[in-house]
Amino acid sequence: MTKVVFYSLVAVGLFTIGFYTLLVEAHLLRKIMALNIMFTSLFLLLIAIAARYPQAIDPLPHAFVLIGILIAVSATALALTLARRIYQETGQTDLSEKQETGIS
Amino acid sequence: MSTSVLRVILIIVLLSIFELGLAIAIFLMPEPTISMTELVHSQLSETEMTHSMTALLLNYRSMDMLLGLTILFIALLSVLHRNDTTVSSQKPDDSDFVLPSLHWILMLIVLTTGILFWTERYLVAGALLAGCGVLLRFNHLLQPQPTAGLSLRLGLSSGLLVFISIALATMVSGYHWLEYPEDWVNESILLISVCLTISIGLTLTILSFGAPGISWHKEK
Amino acid sequence: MHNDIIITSQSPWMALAIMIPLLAAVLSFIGGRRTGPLFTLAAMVGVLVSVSWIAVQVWTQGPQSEAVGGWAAPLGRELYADGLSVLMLLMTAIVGSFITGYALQYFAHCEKQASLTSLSQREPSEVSKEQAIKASLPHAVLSSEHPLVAVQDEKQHIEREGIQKNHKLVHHSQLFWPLWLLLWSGLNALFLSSDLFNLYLILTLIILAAVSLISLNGRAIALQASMRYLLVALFATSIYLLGLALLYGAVGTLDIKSLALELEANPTTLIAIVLIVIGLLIKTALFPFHFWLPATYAAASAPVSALLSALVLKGTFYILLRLGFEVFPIEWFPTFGQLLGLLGAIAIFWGSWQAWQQEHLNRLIAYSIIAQIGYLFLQFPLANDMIDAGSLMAWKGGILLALSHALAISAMFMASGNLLLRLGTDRLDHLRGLGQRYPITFLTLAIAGMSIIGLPPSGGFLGNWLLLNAAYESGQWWWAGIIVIGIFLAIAYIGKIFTPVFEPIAQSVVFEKTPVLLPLSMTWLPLLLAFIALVLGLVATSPLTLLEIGSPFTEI
Repeated sequence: MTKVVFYSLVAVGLFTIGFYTLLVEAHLLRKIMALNIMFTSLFLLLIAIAARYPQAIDPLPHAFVLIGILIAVSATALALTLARRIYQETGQTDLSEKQETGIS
Repeated sequence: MSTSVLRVILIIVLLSIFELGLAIAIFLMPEPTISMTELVHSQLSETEMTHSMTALLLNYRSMDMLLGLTILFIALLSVLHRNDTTVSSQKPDDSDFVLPSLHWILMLIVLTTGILFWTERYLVAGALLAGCGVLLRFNHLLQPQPTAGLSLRLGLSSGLLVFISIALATMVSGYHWLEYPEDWVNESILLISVCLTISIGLTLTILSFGAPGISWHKEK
Repeated sequence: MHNDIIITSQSPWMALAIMIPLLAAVLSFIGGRRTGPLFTLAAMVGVLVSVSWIAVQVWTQGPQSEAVGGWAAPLGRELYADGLSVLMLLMTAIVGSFITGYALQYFAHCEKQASLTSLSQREPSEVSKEQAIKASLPHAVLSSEHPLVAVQDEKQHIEREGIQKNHKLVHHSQLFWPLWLLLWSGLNALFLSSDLFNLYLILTLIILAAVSLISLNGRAIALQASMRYLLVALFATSIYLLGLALLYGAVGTLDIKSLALELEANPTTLIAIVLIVIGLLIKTALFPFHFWLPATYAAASAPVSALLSALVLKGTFYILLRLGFEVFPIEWFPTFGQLLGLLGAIAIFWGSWQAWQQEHLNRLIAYSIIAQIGYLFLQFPLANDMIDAGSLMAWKGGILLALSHALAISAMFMASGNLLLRLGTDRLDHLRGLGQRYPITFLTLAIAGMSIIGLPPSGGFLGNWLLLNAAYESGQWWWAGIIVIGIFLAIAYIGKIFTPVFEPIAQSVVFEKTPVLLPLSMTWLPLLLAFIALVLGLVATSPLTLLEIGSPFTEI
């Protein structure tokens, strides 16, 4: 049981680190990486929870994590494409607002 | 002290409280009231699959797989936005160590993909194929293109198409949604998993390329 | 076959409601760029038929449940439809169909405008273009050997750029159709789902589709807005998933029906549920998590804003309704209820105040959404006691408010989109004196505004009245006061739209670029939608009785 608790705490710690990075860093790539860290830490948490039972490993969280990784890849790909388009349109790599006054 | 330093300190304090709360949640976690492990394993023989995780994804919870494929598809659509790709005309680099041994590497990849496929780890097989695609891209053997041809579009959507078609076909014959007919469980799962692997491999390759289409290098 | 698990019913309509838009999206992707509207219209018919069938089945037979793959919960997934799901599905189908019709004309109009401007730019300025090329000739000579070839290259380059810019616009609008179909499929799946992990996947699907839709028009503001929304929404889902993981660790299942039975109150489950709720609240833009909404909705194209505000926000709200009234242990009800109601009240005040200060129509509407969402959350403290009739009234009132809000706000965004296309700007002072010129558009705004304020006989009025009744019955008079104040605040910001409009035009100041003729359906469709919102209060008895089917409240 302590193995589970240890990995859970590590996962939660990583999540908080990712959370901090997401709030503090301005560069888009860093924000995307921070989100990736947060999701990966959640996968670690799920796998740790899967190891609760002494007899057999719970396969349900493993299935969650598999689909979750697939989704995280898709979301990251979309985020990166969007970040690249922003860079092409504005030449900026962060979300500082130049035009905030509405449409025209 | 500047406001940004104060802001950072505030964030750190709040996050520490957050972390503490989560740690409490973990330490005080009770024993779960429901255990599904035995249920999963007991019904495993009915699915005629050996790997419980894939059985979960393709049989018990096939709707989740459908949703995952759909999400992959949406990410694909976003890449198709880009109509400003320049076709790179770089030639494969002969001085690199990868190119001469490329056929060995490809053989290994195909072998591993086959083994993964045989042990029902379809998603990993798809990812490995995508990795192969990225490798070929780095060698400029696969080039990005501004548009995707019909065959590529069919390949990309084959996973979703086959999934939906089988679902519609079984529903017409009166089964539940996404339920496999008794005699055809093996065949339908095989068909779905082949298309799944191809589709995921192609989609992940395109996502990594960031361009809508692929073509083989002109002069080999 | 799977004889140890009882399966309640077998009907294909729920699955079809999810699969038809999905199949249409895939087919339109394979079919190429031009096939989008065709498949969308076919899918629209299909979904309307399926959803109507589901409604009929729930009305006559009670809640429907379909085990996916033949495996019943908790091992497999179940599709579940009761009165609430059916109402949400119908709302999505009806509002979605209207927006589809509007979007068809909207994008066709934009394409026509784009090709017109490119044509007018090309021909008569041939002379000036040649002069420009000659002026840049030394540079061209340096960059290539033959001068003639250089000139040809410049011309082709300018032409190609012009084509590319229009190609970009056309390309983008053609992607609207598969993305909207996928969003629709996700929304239908959301309203039929009964498992929290399934909902996690569906939420991610909706987020990705919505982000792509926002970034469609390719402007810098829209791209930045969609990036911001993506980051916030993904963050919210990560909080939700964190709660899910902790909940799974504590309980062992994530199925809503099993959770309703098994969930016990202990620190871990409390923290898990709080996380899940916070994740959902961020996505529903309740104060203080509303910060992403105004910039995002003001920057997107009109059909996209209409879709997002009317339908996507209601999706996460629906999940909160299910959790709040079916899953939570009874001990938590009072605290959660009052807390959510408090946040709702602050949202009403803050959102109305911000809306009143705006200079642009789109931003005004966007900030007003924050206030209207606050209203939706007032039903949580009022429906506290699960047994008495007052709670049932509060629940019904809140859901009716959600329905009429969806109708009204999409009509407002569509009308505002019409104004934007005609004037090129949405500044409120530029609307001066245009009341006689565009009567239908301003009538639409007025009627939708009436529903948002809550004037009779609109759906908004009936919803507010039900909430007031519930407040009176349960003795929580302070919520009644907040509702009434909110009505006056809404009159203020809706009125702000109309104060410049009916001034007579003193001088012949015209703010239009060129006379823009919009196709008829673009002006009549939103009017019709707003009219439905207006009369919803009159025809609401059958929807409200439909709500009672499968409702979590026990009647005396």
